[in-house]
Amino acid sequence: MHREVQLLVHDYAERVRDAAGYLSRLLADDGTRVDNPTDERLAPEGDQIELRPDAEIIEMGSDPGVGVTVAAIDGGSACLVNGRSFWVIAYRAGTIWHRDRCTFNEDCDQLNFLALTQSDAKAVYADALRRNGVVRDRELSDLGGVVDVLRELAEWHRVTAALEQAAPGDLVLVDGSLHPGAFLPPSLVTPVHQLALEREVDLVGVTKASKLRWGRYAPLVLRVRRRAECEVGPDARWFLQVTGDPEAPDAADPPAEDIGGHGWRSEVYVARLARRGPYAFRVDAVRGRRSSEELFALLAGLSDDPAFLGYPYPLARVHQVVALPGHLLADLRRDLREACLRQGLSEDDVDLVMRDYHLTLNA
Amino acid sequence: MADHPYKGRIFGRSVLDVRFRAFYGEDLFLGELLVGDDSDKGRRYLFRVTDVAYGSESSDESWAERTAGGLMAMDDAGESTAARDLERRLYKVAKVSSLGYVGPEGHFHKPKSLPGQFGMVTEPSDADLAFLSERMGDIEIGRLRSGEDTVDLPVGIRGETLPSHVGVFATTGMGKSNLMKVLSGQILAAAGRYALLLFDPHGEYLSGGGPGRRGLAHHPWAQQRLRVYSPNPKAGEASLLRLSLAELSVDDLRTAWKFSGPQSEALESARALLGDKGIWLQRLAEEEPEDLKDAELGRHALATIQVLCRRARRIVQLPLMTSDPSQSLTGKVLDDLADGKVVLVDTSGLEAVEETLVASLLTRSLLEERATAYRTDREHFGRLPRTLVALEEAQRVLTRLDDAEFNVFPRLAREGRKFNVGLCAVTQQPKLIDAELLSQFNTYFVLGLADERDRQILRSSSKQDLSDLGPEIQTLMPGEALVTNPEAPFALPTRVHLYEEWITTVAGPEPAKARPDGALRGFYD
Repeated sequence: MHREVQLLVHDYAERVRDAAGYLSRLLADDGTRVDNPTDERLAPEGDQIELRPDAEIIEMGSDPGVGVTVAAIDGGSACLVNGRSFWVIAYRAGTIWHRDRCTFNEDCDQLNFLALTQSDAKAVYADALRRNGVVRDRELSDLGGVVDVLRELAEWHRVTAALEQAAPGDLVLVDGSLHPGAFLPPSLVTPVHQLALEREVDLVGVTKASKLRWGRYAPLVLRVRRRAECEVGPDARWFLQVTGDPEAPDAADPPAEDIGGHGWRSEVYVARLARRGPYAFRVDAVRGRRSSEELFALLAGLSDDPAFLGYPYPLARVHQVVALPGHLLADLRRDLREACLRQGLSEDDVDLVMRDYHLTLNA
Repeated sequence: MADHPYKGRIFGRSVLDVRFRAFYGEDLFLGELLVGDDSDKGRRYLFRVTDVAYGSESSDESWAERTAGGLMAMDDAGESTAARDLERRLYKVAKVSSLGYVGPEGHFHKPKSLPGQFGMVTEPSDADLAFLSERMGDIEIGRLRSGEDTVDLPVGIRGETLPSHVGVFATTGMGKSNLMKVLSGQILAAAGRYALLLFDPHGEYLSGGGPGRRGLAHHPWAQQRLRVYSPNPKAGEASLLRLSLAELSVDDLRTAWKFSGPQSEALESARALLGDKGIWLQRLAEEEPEDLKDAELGRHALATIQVLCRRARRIVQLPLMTSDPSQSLTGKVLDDLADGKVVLVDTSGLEAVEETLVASLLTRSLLEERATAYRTDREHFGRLPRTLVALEEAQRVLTRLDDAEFNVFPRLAREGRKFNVGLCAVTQQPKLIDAELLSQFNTYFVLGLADERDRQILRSSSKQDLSDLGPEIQTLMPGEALVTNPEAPFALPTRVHLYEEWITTVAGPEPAKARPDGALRGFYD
């Protein structure tokens, strides 16, 4: 009788090699079209963003920004219980104010702590939009990642407040994109951009993990960075404008016109902000007062903190202010569990609600 | 907010190892004295900083290394930078040893409980340290030191504790001589309550030892209370030191030189067979070894006798030794000490063994005199001042407790207390002193010591716990000291008075009252 011998260890080396080869081909993928996943488009449907392979990479200096007030906004969030049909979420947003290398004010929301069903979530989302002056224009079929959506809306609410508080020439920094998304309607974003232009405040979003791709599938930031290293060397600060018309006569000045006619005013760049910074980032900018080169010199001046080389320090600071650290989440889970027990839930029910069976399987 | 400068908040950790967080910009020093407030219990805990480290708000353990790397990368790029918001991102963590606490009733207690968590840490107020002033003695040597600051609180030891022995430990340049001058100066100013026999191998104590320095000769009480003996006295400065051969004992010789077993036996034979009152030494020095072997010392090897003769010749030829017992000044020295004076014996012209020989003879004579008084005349003994014998390079004669059989210094360390005679051992190398002998010393003046082995032996033998103070002892600056004494509640950080400045503050004896005008008028008429 023949018995099949099972291997104790699967030989996956060939599959790993295949995957590496696939990634290499992706990175070498050519093309001029810049694209983003459909939930966060760079341009309205139908429009295409083209970026020539020889688009200019511009080196810039570093401006210490003496006397320039910088506001930075970020949010922190966590889903404490994911019951699939309901969630228990926590989030908050915050703003810090920074000038002349010192943070002089920190302002953070009280922790929002909510238990929501899918229906509740839609209502809360609609309420958050209303808070930002926007009426929901279509019914949502699903609201996935509800906590991220609510956090993001809280951040935009703070962006508006910061722009109103800022003086001409100040800078407002945001963690992430300045473009509309699936749950961030243009009707919310556009007035904020307009406010920045009216108040002559530069509004900048820095995206740490960009989903932009160039060509078919090549990650845009990685490809630009590799090109820049070849062209201007590894020891340089630079930026490349991806959207907007870099050849336009007024490109060095704040854009007065609605570029592309789609309402929102943010340009997309890829930039490396410190000569020894390990990363390049996608940077969105609504230039309220400065030219591109002036703006990126200012961002470079803010990105010299040795712990976060190449990343604007005020954003690093506000991230620490709003983040929900592990010990806080552990406290929240414990408090929630005790509160459930006090409400009369049995230990078994609480376990069922709070326990993620994946953890059991993975243990 | 605290009445006194705020330093931080306590966050743990155990009764004897308290930690507090301080602001990044707070300049904390090893040895700094601070107070932790436990307002719930009404206690004020006294702390001593034993170590300081940086803490950061980052949860990344390698944050500091990474940030330093970032700074270096920017330096390398020619764009030197600095971290932003340092006060928000960094802080200091001070490790402090709890010295004890003052309870609501105002009494000092040893540390047996934890101060309140998150209690406020401040600089001590005068009231916090008031309990210390009650425990300071009349032999003041400096002011309390808190880190690099000086607190206006005298630090001293009680003169009554001098017979419990004193150790002065420091490497060169740390202020031993200055401390000894201050200590001697205090005994000079004590108006006869205490006496001091001080051997000066470097000739620095009398005149100060260098330009701009002041010595005991400049002390306001020098004329009344200082007596100086020297083998080579300068006119008007000192008396000629003369010691009699008859006073030298076999034990003095064995203290000064190392004799083998056969040599010690031969020495005893010579002492017994060649004549008393120093004649044996003279004969050893003057007669041929072969003749002595043929006569009284026949049972000893010739080479052994030759060694004895050579050493005897060296002694007899010393200018300060005399064969005439009536010229000896030993009795005068003892009288001065009995009178509560500071006796300075200048041994700077002598070699080490000769110096030891002189010190041994005088110390043994003193101890025997006090022991005799103790046994025969308690009333007289009670009137004698407590006396300290100060010896430099003391490790030479305090290596082994077993030597007490013949060596007067270990014997003094072991028995002197009973006879109100103490030993002040000054040394750079306490590690060479027998640990059991060191444990006889109740008072330590510890100045800067570079050698860990030296610090280790002091930590293990001190009357106060010095276990956490290794780094502080290592970093003591010249003139800074730790004082341990059974009277003190803890090892006292001290800034020793600078002798030259201090003597200007010492009140001298009252000058004789001027004769009233016309007092003698008509007397001679």
